[in-house]
Amino acid sequence: MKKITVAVVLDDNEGMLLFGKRQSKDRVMIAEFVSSVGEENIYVSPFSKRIFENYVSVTYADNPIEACVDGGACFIENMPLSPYVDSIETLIIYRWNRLYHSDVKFDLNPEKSGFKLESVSEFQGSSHDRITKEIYRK
Amino acid sequence: MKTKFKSLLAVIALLLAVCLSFSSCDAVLDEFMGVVGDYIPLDDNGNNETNNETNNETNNETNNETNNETNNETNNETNNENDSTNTDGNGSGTGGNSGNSVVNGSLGESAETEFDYSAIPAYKGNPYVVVNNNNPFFKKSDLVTESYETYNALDSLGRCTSAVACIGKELLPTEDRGNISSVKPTGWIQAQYSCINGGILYNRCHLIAFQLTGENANRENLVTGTRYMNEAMIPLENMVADYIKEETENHVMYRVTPIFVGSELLCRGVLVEAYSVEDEGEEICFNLFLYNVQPGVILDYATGASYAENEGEETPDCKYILNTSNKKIHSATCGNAATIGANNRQESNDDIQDLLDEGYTKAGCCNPT
Repeated sequence: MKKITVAVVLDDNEGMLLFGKRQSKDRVMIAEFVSSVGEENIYVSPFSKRIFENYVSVTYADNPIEACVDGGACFIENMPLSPYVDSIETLIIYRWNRLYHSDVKFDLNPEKSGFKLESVSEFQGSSHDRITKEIYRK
Repeated sequence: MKTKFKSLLAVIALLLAVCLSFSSCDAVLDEFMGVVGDYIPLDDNGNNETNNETNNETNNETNNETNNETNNETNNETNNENDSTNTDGNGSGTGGNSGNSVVNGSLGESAETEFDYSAIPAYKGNPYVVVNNNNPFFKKSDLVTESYETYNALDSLGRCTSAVACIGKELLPTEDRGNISSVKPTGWIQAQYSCINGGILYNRCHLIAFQLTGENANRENLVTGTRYMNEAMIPLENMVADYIKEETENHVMYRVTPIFVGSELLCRGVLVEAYSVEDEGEEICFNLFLYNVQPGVILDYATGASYAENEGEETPDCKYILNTSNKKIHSATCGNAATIGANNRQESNDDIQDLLDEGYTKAGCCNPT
């Protein structure tokens, strides 16, 4: 079975979407993700095109997790992860450290899903004072 | 005689057919043109005269669940008490005069023409309800790409009417927020309750947040709102502020209208509309009514007075709600705690220091003690 990296970004209530729209976005955070996994390894859905439009090597797929090759990385905004938990070797959770409303929440509890928190770091985003990056591995 | 009668009937039928034909044409034309609003006569206060005529004065009882006798569950706040919502006299209120409502970036398909408070269901635990399929009532002519902010005049009762802005980076504050305690909006009867995080019932709620336009102690931009309502406004403001900071050349049309019923001094809630102009609502597009309620507290909307629901009873079963995923500690009464998914939710009566020692941190929204 392939092993991939998946990244998500969550608000203080584990929220991901409101009314089918992303809660927020941040250029610096996306740049950090691209830098950390390599632009050519990234798979995202067309929904995320707007935030990756400056990165021409990113691959778009309706289901990026299924399309992602072994060793690749997905940035997921609008789909559940629990059906694919066996394929996820590394889980990156970015946290806005802000409150938004949400009607779609993150569907994984990393620790209950077999992940161990490996590192936590923080950086300043372009529109967020403090973004937290948590890296979980199995 | 019969012939004359038949002729008369024929003439009447012809006239009726012509009338129907014209009205049908109007309907088709309206649909084609996307004209979804009718002229609404406004009184001197900018209120809907038609609605005012039907106000039910018997029903200004005070709390947020003043059921009328018909007790329509989805509508128990407002039946028979058609409100005098503040559609401002400057034409920048919610809907009203003819124009094209914005619908997901297109025009003319709006389900509603203007805000109708009587259609708002009673508060049932969610701090907001979607209005008009989440499409704001902005008209096409409202959508501009040059920043401005307008705070409409107080009405004759001293109540806020509405505030509207085309928010761009130029309007974002460049200085720290100032003191706004000098303003006492209508309905300002402050009270404290143990069931509220921080204890204080009312906040001076900016219609258009300081983080969006840098407006401080402007009486035309501050209403009396519960802490609960204010906490529900902030996430929406955050979304808009983030968007402006990321899409630095873009603008968001943003309008907030407090909704008062009759001559009440405390608003029943606020209508918040937002629409990102340059991307035609792709990233920001919502139309929400936020309830001015406070769980555990009964509000007298006529005056702003309040009293505890179930006074002396009912304390939460636990002190804290833990989010086991992000390791946040919420107060048991925190509204945001209610949104934590079951998988990540855990009740706790532990000492907060023990929880902190376990790696938890205090949620900023309620700052539990």
